[in-house]
Amino acid sequence: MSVKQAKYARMILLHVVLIVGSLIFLAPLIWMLGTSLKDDRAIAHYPPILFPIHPLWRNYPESLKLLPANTYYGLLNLYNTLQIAVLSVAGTVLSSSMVAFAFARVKWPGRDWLFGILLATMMLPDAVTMMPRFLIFRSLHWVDTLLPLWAPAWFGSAFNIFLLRQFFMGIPKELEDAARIDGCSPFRIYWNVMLPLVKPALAAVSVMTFLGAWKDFMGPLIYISSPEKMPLSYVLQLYNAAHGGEPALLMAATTLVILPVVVLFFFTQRYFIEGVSMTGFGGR
Amino acid sequence: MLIPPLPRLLNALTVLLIHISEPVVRVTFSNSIIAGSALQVFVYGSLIFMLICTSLRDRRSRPMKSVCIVLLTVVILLTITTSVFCAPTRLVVWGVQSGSDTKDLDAEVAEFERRNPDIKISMLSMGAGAMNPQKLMTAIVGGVPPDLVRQDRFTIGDWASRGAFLPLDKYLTDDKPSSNPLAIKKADYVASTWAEAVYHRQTFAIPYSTDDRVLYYNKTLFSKAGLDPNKPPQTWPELIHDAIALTKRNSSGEYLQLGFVPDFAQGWLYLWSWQEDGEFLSPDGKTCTINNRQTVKALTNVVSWYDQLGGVDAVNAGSGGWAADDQDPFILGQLAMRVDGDGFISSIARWRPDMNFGVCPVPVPVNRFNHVGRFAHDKTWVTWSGGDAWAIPRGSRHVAAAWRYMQFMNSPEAALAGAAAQAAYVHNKGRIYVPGLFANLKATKAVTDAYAPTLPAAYRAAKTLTVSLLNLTKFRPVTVVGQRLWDEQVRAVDRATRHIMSPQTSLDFAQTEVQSELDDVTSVANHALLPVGPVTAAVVLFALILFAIVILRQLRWRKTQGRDAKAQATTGLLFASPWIIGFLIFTLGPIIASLILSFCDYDVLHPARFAGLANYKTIVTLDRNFVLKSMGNALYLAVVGIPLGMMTSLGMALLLNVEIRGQRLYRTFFYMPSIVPVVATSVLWAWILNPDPGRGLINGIWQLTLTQWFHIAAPGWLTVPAWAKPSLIITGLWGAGGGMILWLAGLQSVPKSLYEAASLDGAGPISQFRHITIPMLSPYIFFNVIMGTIAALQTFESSYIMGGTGGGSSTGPDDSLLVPVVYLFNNAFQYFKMGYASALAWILFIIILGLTMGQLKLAPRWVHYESEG
Repeated sequence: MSVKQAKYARMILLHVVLIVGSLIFLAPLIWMLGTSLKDDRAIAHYPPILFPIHPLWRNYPESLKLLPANTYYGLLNLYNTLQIAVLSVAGTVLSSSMVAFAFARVKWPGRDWLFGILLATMMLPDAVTMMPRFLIFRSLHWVDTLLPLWAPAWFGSAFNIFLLRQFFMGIPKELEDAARIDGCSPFRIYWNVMLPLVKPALAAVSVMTFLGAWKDFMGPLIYISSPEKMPLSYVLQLYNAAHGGEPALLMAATTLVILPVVVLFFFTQRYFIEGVSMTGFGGR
Repeated sequence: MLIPPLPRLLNALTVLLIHISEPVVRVTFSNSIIAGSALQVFVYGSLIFMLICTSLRDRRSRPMKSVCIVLLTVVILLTITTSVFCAPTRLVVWGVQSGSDTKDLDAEVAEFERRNPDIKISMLSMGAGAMNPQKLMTAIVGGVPPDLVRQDRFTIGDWASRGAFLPLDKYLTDDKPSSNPLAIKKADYVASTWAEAVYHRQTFAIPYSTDDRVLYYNKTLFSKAGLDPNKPPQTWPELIHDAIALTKRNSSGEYLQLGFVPDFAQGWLYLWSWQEDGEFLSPDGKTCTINNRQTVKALTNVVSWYDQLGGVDAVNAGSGGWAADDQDPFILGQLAMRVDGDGFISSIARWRPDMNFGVCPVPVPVNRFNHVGRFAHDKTWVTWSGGDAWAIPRGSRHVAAAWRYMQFMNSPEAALAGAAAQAAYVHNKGRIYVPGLFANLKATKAVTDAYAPTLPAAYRAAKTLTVSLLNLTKFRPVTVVGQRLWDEQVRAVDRATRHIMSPQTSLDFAQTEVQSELDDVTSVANHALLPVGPVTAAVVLFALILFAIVILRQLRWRKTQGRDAKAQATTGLLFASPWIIGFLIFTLGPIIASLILSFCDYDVLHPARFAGLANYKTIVTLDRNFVLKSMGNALYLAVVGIPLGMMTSLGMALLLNVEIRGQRLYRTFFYMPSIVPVVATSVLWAWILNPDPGRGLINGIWQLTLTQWFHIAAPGWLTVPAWAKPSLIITGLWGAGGGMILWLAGLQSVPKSLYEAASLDGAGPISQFRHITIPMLSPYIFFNVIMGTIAALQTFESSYIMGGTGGGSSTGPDDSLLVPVVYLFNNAFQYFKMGYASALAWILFIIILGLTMGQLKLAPRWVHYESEG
């Protein structure tokens, strides 16, 4: 075998391994789709059928019909999730970038000291503050509203502040000085000079926050109890508990919850990948 | 249909719009939620502001401005329109499930709404059939409870003791039977059902449904076994004699037919013990008596029955494949006798209406049957009742409407209206309609009189017996530890029948467990109230002093600075203020509160009591087993899960760190699972890991390959303690793609020159990996280990959701998925032991801190940073 042939063979082997690996990772999703389109007989069939010959599309509307009537076939739940996600993203981006700007580009007394505290808070498990937070939101009459799920995002998140600070630090000081000489107020420097320069980081933070809000389960589990105020993730868990005996409908519901995230992922893949590489979090 | 018709869509859109405008409405019309609304307005305001800013900067044009104005007008218009709407009283009822076969409920609700046009009923039909206790308690404590709940009656005592329900005595005395035919009268009710709703002499619930337990037997199988089908067993010896005669095994010892399984269906220890005149709790409710002589005798009998039938393991193997409904063993003729509630008559009617079956009281001990000795003055038969009751949670906003609904639902008229609708529906399908039992005897009589005469003889006899037994039913003790008592009773039977312990030791063990919980509950009331005033004052004073110091230092600093520096300082503080405020409100405040709470008993509904170190003490003594188990489970997940996860993601990264066609596509495939929400992942994998090879993907493939080739039986995954955690880890591995991206970034940062130099020196790929890749990646490995440990110790969602699929609780079989945060969460938001949960949180925090510090200390030994050379 020549060197070229050997290289060629290695390439093919690699492709085979990668294809098999991809299949293994995609199999659960395919199985989910397949199950969601099966009738009872196909579900209990052994050996298992990956995909039914006669897909039962009816399962999707059927699964939505099982949701409480006042959620409009889950439309309200989707809206709740979107509301939480959008408001969380807006809040995180706005507040975290402002605070990061203050920590990175402005000199003020106590700054480094407070930054140390900010870093330390990242170590604190949520469990410690979980109960008192509930008491706070309770006294504000926010239980069973969406507010506890997104309001904290408007006060900056330590991790995103830390991340954005790193980016702000990398911007040359000359730009800022030039703007100041031109008579820019600090706010305009932040808004018109700094923010546009860290757009990729903002995009990554947005995408990660959006995903986090979409996934959030513990928040709704604690705070939401009316069906018309529940976000999708919590509805799915209740659905699982109530209709676990109907795998086809359950998988249809699961597909409907996953679908929007997957679609979003395909359009914003770049930011996801950047988000992970920058934040060091695998998204879970 | 998937796409709702246009009018419905429009309707939905309107609701959405109203929803959006709701905050504005709140600001205008309500004061209580003003803080939330102010924030919301601030949010929307800043969104609009952002919009304006962007439009001005990018285009220097006006169109965006007009868009904003239009948006604002729409919001204001909506505010006005929504405020005009005025809905009738919406009575929110929980714990009631409306479905395709609950025509009776639907008819009753419709009839109620017809009679009371000012009330609309809104039922919560989600949740696992019954009400999720955590959700109900959180809603009550949070001040947003449902107006009425239908709750398992035997838990009423527990709820009442925590102050979750309103006492109803006032409403009972206000009810005037003379003017209102629907008035609720205690005399109408089955005595035991009413007694079960009374706690500390106050009535906390009104019984609704009820049941009682009888012995069902298959007459055809009796005839085949040579027994008289009209002479069912009446005493324990007859019962086991017939059971053995009815049991058939094949040559290899497998059961073809079982005569009787003692604790199958409703054959709980409660029943057998009561037949011996045993009791589970002393009359004052302070001592658990589960290990008394009578109960030991009853359990000894249950154990001996199992042994005579072939041993518990053999019987369990024989009954392992039993299912419900049309696959029920009694329906299929695989089981000849069973103790079950009266509801099982309906199951026979539904699934095998032509069955030749009989019903009799559950057999009793011989002496009781003959009224000998201590049984001389006892009634012969013993049975007991469970069922639901209506209760009004504390904080209900429509108590009067809830009371009206309760009155109606419990009335004979409602029972008849419901029965008529359900009967029409069932008859329409060609099935037999068997009416149910109500705690209100008048309702039971009304439906029985109306429908029993239409029943076939066997059903009529069964119905008559269950109704006549109602006046001697017993009920489970009303106690705070009702659930614990129940669980321990089940465990005691399990241990004794498996011969892990003798009946006496097993029940002694159960007694200790229940008793310590009882003592714990009673001791709480002895703690002194927390002096809230002084504590708050101390905290506030401390905060003020701190604040003053900060202000003073700032002022002094400002004096020494020039104008520019002062301006900068103002800007900095202003820009950082969101985080500073958030930190004070959402982090520092809660940390102090949590620390104080951890030394208190606090259930939110009652004032906090100072408990000293009691919470911490309970954690390390009484509840040590739970805490250690949860920590052990988390440790397992960390020690096994983290290395596996890292290997998987690093493996993927190594494969993809090569110039290859379609690399991006592969990366997408590997990465995609990690963005799927954890809830969805858990639900999906619980399905994939279904142990039935005909249903679960993994076991289906396993059965086709490993079992076929190597005869390795497929594991039970989430249903088996030993496999539950591996199931969780496998599920986690599916999302390893997130880590892969990180490794890829790491791999790309390794200088190519290093590999070139190494390969010139003759190092092979393995040696290169070992001596270049691993050391160069060590900072990434370190980061992963630290983050992974912190995450593993805080596992919650996957464990909570997947733990709920195997068994009933959310902790997996044999608590194998009980992790610290789940344990903490249950204590905090189901039992509202806020102090105890806070103490747990602090212990968790200290453990995490310790582990992280330890890892940081060990890091220099193996982590290689480039700057070191």
